[in-house]
Amino acid sequence: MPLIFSQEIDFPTNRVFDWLSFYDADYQKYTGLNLEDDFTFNDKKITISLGGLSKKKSIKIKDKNLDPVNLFPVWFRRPNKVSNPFTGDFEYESTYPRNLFNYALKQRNTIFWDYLGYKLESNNHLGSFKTTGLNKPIILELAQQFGLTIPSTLITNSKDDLKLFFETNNNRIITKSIEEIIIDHKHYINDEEYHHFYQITNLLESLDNTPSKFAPSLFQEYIDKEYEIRTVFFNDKCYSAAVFTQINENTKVDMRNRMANHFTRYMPYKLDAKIEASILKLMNHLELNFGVIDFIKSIDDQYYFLEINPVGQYGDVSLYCNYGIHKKIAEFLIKNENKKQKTSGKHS
Amino acid sequence: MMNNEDHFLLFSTCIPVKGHESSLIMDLDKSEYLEIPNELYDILTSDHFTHNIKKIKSLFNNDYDEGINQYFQFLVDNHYGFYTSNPSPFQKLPLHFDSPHKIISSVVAINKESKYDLTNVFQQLDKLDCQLLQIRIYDHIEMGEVIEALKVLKKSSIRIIELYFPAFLKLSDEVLKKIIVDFPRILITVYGAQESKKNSVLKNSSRVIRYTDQQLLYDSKEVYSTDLFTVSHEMYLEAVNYNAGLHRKVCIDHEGNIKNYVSHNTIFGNVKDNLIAEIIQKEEFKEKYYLKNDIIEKCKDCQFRYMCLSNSDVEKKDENYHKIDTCTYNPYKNTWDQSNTI
Amino acid sequence: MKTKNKKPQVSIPENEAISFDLHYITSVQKKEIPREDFKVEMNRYYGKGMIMDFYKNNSNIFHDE
Repeated sequence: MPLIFSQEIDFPTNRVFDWLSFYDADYQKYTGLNLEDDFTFNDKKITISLGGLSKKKSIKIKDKNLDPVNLFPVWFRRPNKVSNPFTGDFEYESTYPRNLFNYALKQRNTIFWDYLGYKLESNNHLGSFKTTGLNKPIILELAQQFGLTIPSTLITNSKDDLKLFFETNNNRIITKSIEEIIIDHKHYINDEEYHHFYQITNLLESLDNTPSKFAPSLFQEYIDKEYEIRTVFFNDKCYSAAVFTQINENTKVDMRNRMANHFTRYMPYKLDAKIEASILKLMNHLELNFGVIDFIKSIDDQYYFLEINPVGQYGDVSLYCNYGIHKKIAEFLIKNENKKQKTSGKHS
Repeated sequence: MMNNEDHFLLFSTCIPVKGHESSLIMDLDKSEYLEIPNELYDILTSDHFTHNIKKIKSLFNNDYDEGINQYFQFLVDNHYGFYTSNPSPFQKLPLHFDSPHKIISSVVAINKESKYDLTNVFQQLDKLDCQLLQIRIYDHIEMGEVIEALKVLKKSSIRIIELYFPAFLKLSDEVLKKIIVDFPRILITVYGAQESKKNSVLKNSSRVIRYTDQQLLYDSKEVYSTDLFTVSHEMYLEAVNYNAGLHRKVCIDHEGNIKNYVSHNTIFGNVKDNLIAEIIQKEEFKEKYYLKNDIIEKCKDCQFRYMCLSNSDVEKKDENYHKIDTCTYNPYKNTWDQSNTI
Repeated sequence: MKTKNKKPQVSIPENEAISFDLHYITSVQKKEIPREDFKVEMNRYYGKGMIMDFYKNNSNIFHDE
């Protein structure tokens, strides 16, 4: 029985459930804090016991004994760690500040989920609990170490060094978040309309009117791209698509900046063997068997690695390129269950 | 912009389809199609992965050079394709169709003589993961019983439940409103109404009650019309491989007979005696799944064949397949026969 | 409430603690699409699923202009 950690509403997860049902496989879904609702900790009761002189261990979820727990394939689709900071929907009245109380809740919750992840990570699993938030500069360094080309990158809090970098890169650079982008926010101004706050990668063509004081920040050379490549890495294979974001001006710098009426073209794509081999080494090093990886194919025929999103959306690539990734994930989960059962011999 | 050394590629979701007289490009991303002459179809379906534009022009004896220049540029400007100096990493769209739904669609008919267990039929369809359910109600039947039976589908995986019933049941707006509030999946169509219209009965909602002045008959036939065509990724892939109307469809007529489609003559069993799951396993039931437009006379010469949904029965005559209820489009003349078009 | 063309409030101070990219938070004014109409509870998903996004019709027997 695969255990799946996701949000309450995540459409790729639902498509995988469709396939698990098709194969008559049983499964359990767990949501932690999630993006859509405020606080649905869980509809399941979880009990873990350990220690004492007997050193007896057990793990029980929703009255289902998961012992031995390593029999269960696990898919960390969208584990709790990437969810919103805690915004519990309950009345709180105290002179101890709400934000500090929320912080305490979040910390405790994180430790619990980390522990659960720690216990389940030895199982046959897809995705990863501990690496949901990857350190972007470290990933860039590793990517280069494993043979991928990365854009010329600067991390600094010095305006002078930024100026120098700007000039050496033909007065065109981009600012990027060193961490993940900010969490989207909808600020309602009436019943029907809202301001949607989000962060995109920005092109800087001048440093005039930019901050002179700032915390260490990440900058990269601007690369003239022919197209982007989005690679869904899953179970040691690359499923790639050329993504034509040049079609409208809005998406030239950042794909997220597309307006509803515009559309993006996808085309099935095969990266060359050398790049795929580098991806495999990088992902193995990171102990990730799933991730959505972005590249730029420049107009001068270079492939630049940009980033890995271990919980990235893969539905678009799967649909437009007809890769059938939902089905493959379901089959992966079922196959690993059978494998485990065979070697252990008894448990269901 | 155009360089003769470059290759011209259509995006893999822009599909050229040839008809006898006229061709088109289906744009799966935008759900549109663009009509093109057959000559352009032939040019577009040459091996562009191997040949650059210069070579393509020479394959057509350089007779169409100016036309190729203009059309390719038009297609690039309108985002149907692009130029590239290196086509080798680009791949063709895999054409297989995979669906996790054992049953994709179903039509269930009920009249006052119907004696089969509706709740049980609904449960079986849900178990088979049916996605589209259409319930056709004839006669003066007790709507309450149907609504009661529908309760088993409240948290089911069925996406859309279309409920067709006659205007002479005279259900009030209040009753209709209650049905669509209680059942978010239900779309109501009242047939035989005085006028065709759409009534919105819910505030802040896009859901409407649809009235049509047309009648529902036991042998109501499929309507074919350009505005009913479906251009979508999955529809295309399904239609390339299967009969998009009948693939994984199972229907129950008012007597409980299990059929490929309600108006078909062939009966494979009856829900009073058989499980639906058992009938749909039979090879003779599934036979119709595979009778796709590509192998049906007339349809195979029609450029609309991957966007046209038809539930017509298909019969074999002299080694060839024919639709029993065909459309009024004539692909050999590229005209719609006006006399029969609605 | 009159809201046309009202620019949202994003005012981030220049400060050594605030990274450069956070000065580029963007916002657009959007109209809510009533998507709740299309989400329903489904047992199989342990949550909600979309219902109106299916790729084809069941049958076309009525045709109103």
